[in-house]
Amino acid sequence: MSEFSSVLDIPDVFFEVANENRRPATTLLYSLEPKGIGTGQCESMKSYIYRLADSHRISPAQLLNEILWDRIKKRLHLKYPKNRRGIWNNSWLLSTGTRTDNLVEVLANTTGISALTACTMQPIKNILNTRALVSMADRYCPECINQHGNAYDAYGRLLWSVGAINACPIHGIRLVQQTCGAESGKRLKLFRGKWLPGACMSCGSIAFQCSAQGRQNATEVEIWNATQVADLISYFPGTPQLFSRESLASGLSELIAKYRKGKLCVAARSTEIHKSAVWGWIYGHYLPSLDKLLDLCLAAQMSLVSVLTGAPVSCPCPNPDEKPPRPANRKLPKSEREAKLKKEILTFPPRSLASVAAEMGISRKCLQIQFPDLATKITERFRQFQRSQSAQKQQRARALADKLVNELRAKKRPLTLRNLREASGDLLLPHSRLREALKPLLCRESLVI
Amino acid sequence: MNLSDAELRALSRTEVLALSAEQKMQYFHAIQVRHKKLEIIGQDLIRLLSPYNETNIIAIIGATGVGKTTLSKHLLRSLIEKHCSLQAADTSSVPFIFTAAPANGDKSVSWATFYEKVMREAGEILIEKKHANIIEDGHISIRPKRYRTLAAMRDALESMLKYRKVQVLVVDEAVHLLRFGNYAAVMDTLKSLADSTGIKILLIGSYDLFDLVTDYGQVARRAEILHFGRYAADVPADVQEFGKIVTKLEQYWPCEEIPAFSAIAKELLEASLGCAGLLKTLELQALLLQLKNEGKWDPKFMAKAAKSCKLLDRIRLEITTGEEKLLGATYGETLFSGVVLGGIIKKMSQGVCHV
Repeated sequence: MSEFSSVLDIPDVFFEVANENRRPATTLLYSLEPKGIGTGQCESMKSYIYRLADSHRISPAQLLNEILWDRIKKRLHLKYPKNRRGIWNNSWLLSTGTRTDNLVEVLANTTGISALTACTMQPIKNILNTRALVSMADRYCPECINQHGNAYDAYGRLLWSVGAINACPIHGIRLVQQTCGAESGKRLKLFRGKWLPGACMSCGSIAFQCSAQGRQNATEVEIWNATQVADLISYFPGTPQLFSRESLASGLSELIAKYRKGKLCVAARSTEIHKSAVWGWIYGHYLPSLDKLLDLCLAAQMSLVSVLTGAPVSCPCPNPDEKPPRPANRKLPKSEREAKLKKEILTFPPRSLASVAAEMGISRKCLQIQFPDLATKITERFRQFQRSQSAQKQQRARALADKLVNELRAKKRPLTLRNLREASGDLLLPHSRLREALKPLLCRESLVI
Repeated sequence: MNLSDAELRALSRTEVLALSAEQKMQYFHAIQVRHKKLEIIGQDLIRLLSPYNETNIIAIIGATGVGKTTLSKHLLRSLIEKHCSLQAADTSSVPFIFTAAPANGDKSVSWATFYEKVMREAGEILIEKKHANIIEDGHISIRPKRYRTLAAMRDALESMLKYRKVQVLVVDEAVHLLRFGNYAAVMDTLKSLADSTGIKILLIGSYDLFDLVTDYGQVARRAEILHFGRYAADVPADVQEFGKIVTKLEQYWPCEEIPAFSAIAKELLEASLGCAGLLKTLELQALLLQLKNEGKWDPKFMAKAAKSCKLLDRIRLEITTGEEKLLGATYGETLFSGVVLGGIIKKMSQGVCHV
């Protein structure tokens, strides 16, 4: 508290007004500072929202849907049905679209923090291709999370959300997907998980101690890639001044001049990138994707940031030939696709058309257009299988419900929700199968809930 | 009449006389005057609110109508103005919160209601959806659909006090906290809130607060009591000061015919027991009667303007009992006061040191 000896200068006469403002004008939400801004370990927007929600002691879904969503809707002039909420995935929260832009602005207005753009990929919006830029899977570095020791200090890095990266540049280990390794009995039921960057949502384990995945050392190339992207992220607050399409084009030209003495075709071939793609990047027809650009920089042993600024500088990788194998091209010729679909009709259990299409490396719509009859048969078969599975589960739920009711009757205990929960060991959430099965049984008895 | 303090002060006498009867009542009701006891308490309070002492709990205790709430509201307004001018960059902080302890008919203190009131004053969002974090055995979770529990509200309040950088929490009518309650439990809760968040809690109330604050040593060490006393009829300086208050209020009388209150200052002191607030109540009542009489003053109005004798006796008894209880317990009444202080001053000015 600053020195305020003069604060209580009581005037000779003053007026106590009934409706006077007893509170200074403040922001709607707390001004929580994002961590690591201006470094490669910058916090991601998703992690920031989790921490902001936790500081208010509400869930991130409540913060997004009940506080921020209406403000974003107004800005985007969206007309959503009253009960429909936004879809809060990584693409919305971290990428470069209009929605992310508006989310950042709304958060800046409600928290008073203006540097939140650096927590998303917005700063490289018109410089890199945004397709697959952000990974939809949640990944983390176990060592980075462990060094904090408690759930409140840990935070998710923006770097971990970049699709082209799969290693931690600091610890040299591969990033790990957020999967719970706890036994099913130790997992939390629905609505009990706490959404914090440093804790498992399935079992609540702080610092993901439940994870069975061991530490895997990353290759030198993976670490080099991660270091380059971390360097790029550290420039984020000031990217509009540093990076532009023109500087990228100039950087690429100079890279090719230094790397392959100006021979673009040779440079493209050496990195398995089509030469027209590199042409397109230089002449501004297309934006380069981050993974392809990293491949080119790795081959030329130049730093990514220096290429983006237009003045490539050497940045050697210790072992550039140790590249991770690329996934095999899964696209099959049309005849093979037809044969595969016919075979699929005979397999059990039946799979959905979408999963079959993903395996083939094409979209479901493409299969429906090319082979409408076969696609319809596969879809019908799968739906029938789902219906039968659902019916079986309902039968099992009814049998269990009967068993529970008989058990309680035998023990002469009233058929209340609490007793049923105890007997079944299940939360009996609304719309769960067991609760739906119990409903008709409960109505027949005089019950107390 | 939605005018601010500055706008009301800017009104000329002609404008005030042109107001309607209701507006005149509102105008006179809003007037507060500076007086000696208000200044002394204000200065002591500012010293105790300094962050560089160990006093976490400050109690302003005084008779009803003496001006405790007036002082705290004026202090709050001044601090907010000072904060706004100094801390323009930090728009999320709420350094001072003013709230009244709830008295909603519950048979014991409803802490959840109290916490909710404090959070509402700070503009907190989604109070009805607060949940508590449960940390057990290296795992963190929440109870499903268990919102607004006592633990959740307390957790949310501590988080709010921390992130909003609250420095002072003012609780008016703090005596409601101890009706039907266990004093030690109430003070323990307040003390732990002050300790965990680093805020200062300012309790305002009547003499009943004394027992709350002095109940046991742990709390007494971190607490101070400011006694907002009244003007005594047998102390000439007090009578003189009270006379000044009467004169000041007379100058702002919103009628053409101004009653000669200054001439009966001593009688007014007796009728209001030396409390500036009770004096205001008396004069407001007199004003109402004058306005109903089309602005013509009649000294007989004084008979109905003053409090009835039995009520006055009841208040007087409460005040005298409270004043006796507070002897030796308030801020400034230490081992180094009174006669001892004279000796200490003499020794220190001579630089004498006896080992």
